[in-house]
Amino acid sequence: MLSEGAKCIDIDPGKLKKMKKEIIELERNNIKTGEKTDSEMGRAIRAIIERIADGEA
Amino acid sequence: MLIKSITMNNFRQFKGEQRLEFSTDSEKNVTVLLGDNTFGKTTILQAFNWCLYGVADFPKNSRPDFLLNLDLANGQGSDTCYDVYVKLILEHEGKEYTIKRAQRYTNTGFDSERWSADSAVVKIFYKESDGRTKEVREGEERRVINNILPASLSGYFFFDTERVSDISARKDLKDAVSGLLGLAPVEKARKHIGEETKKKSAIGQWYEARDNNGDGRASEAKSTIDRESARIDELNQQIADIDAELKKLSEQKEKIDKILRDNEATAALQLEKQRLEAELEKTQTTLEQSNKSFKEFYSHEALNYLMQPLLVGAEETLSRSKLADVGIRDMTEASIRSIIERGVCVCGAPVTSESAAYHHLLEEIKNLPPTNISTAVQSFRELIKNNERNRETFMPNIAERYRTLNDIRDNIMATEAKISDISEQISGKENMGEHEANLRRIENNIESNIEQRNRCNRDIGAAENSMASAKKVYDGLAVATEKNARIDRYVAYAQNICDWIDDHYEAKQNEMRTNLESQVNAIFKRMYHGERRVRIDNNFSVSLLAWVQGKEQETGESEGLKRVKNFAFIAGLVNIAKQKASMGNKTDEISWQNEAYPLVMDAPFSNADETHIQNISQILPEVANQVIMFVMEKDWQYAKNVMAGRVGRYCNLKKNSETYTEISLGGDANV
Repeated sequence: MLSEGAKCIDIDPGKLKKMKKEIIELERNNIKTGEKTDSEMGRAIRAIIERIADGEA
Repeated sequence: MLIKSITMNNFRQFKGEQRLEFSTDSEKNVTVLLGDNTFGKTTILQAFNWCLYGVADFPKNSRPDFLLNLDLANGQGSDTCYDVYVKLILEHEGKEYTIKRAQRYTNTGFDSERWSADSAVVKIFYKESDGRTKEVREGEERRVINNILPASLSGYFFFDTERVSDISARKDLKDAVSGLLGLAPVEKARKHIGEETKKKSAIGQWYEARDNNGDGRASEAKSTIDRESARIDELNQQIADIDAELKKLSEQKEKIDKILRDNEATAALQLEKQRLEAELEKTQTTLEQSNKSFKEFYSHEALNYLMQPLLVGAEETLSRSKLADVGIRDMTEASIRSIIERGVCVCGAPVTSESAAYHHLLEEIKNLPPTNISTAVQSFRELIKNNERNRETFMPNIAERYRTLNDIRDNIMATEAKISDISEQISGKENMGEHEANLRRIENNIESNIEQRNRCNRDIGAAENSMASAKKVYDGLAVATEKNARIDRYVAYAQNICDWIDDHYEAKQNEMRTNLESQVNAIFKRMYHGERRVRIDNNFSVSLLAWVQGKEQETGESEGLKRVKNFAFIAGLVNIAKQKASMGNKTDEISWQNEAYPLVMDAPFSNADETHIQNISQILPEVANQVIMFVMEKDWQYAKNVMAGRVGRYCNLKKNSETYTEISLGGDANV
């Protein structure tokens, strides 16, 4: 359930695509290494989304 | 995935450390290991399984759990312990992995059960792109291996043709196949992005970091600011209204002040008249009281004064009389007779007719009126004497009172005259008293309005203080509010990605299933020339269908047909797995390179005729990036004509004894 604030966000398709690519690459890499736990993966995904959302498309 | 080598140390009949390298050449992608029955081909296949999954399927009559080489185990004077291990070096998605499973056997005595085995330990190392070697975290080994090659499918990638179970009997293929076909990263991403209630997930972590309390407090502070701001506006409006009223009252006051100033003399006279009228009223009251007092005094004292000549004469006459002063003053005969009648004197003595007291009392009666009046005359003379002073003061007293009455009357007449005079002077003039009353009312109103304005100013001060406090809270929370806004933005993107996965995942899985079914049937047709086809349903269950009486249905399968079906399924899976994976439609598609998988096959041509052997030999190098085959020389004779050009490496198994086999490298495709 999105918050009222989140519902009003304009999504940049370029940023969104970049996020998807990086997240899948991150998951593929972790599948190979098992380096990160679920919690660490949650944090790593947060970092990707935050970096791209705050940066340029 | 490409397998570079396998190293076995003291593993069953492979005594000592023996290494087998495999071809990783994409053109010559086949490695052939030649060996007859009982030479150890199946042991090598089980070495793969043991290294990766910790299980090795050996015949029950061959002590399946005892992996230590029997030459060493049974040898005289053997060492106290031996390490059994299998080490695989493989390449997966650009990373080189070394997977090593080891088990230590310790000699504990001299009988046949003297070997004690520790638990097997697996370790995985991988090389980063920068060349550094890292170890997979302890506890994660199974997950990493399963993601490289799912254990549920291991029986097909490490294909023991004679013992493989029927793929149609497997119900656990969906997740494994989805993983191999490249959907695992998407599925994992969906899990790790998560949702609000999953605290380990990205969205869950954002919601944890969100300052929901701060939002509430900020909202409350904002509400206070708005409320106090409105209150200040309202109070300022009240002050403006008060100022307008004060201005009006000041004008009225000024007007009345002017009238009063202009009629100051009249006002003074009117005021004097009022004062005199009040004074007159008071004096008239005093006159009434003095009149009353005069009359009362006269009534009380005048008779005594008027009797004065008679009393003087009486005194002169009585003073000349010779009356004995006997008897008790004011005593009466009735009093004495009452004592006698009572029988007891006032002194307590009994009074009887015989007592002396009785006779004294009777004697006393003779000194009293009417028998003797001397005591009465004496009393009268004292009365005359006592009233003499009153008679002397009567005249001055009454004269003084009379003068006072006349003075009051004169005072009243004078006041009435003054009032009359003033009345004549102010006759026809306005009543300044009314103006003065109005002026006092206006002054009271002005005072009240000023007090109200002061109260408004105090309320404004309080509202400004409250607003400043709320502003401070609000400004303090602005950081939290900004943070929440950022989190909302991140969550919106994350949720968008989740929606994208949810929208496409099932369709993609279905697309892959359809594609897999198509590939499997294409391979199946190259090996089987009947009317059957392979069906892969939504749960990735595999079945073989045939047309019976115009209706397609499952039928009985021979062992040979089952092997062809299984082989077709695995070959189709390997063929698709190496293709590029993608997700989404044209506008939002994301694609990534998928992984190629090897096929390690023990006796792939077992029980196959020459045609099948040639078909299999042709298909295997096409669909798999790497083929590792353990074959008997007699079967190889049929395959080599088709496959020889794709063979990159040959190895031979040399059986020295039932407990010792050596791997020799090299060899010839034409063996």
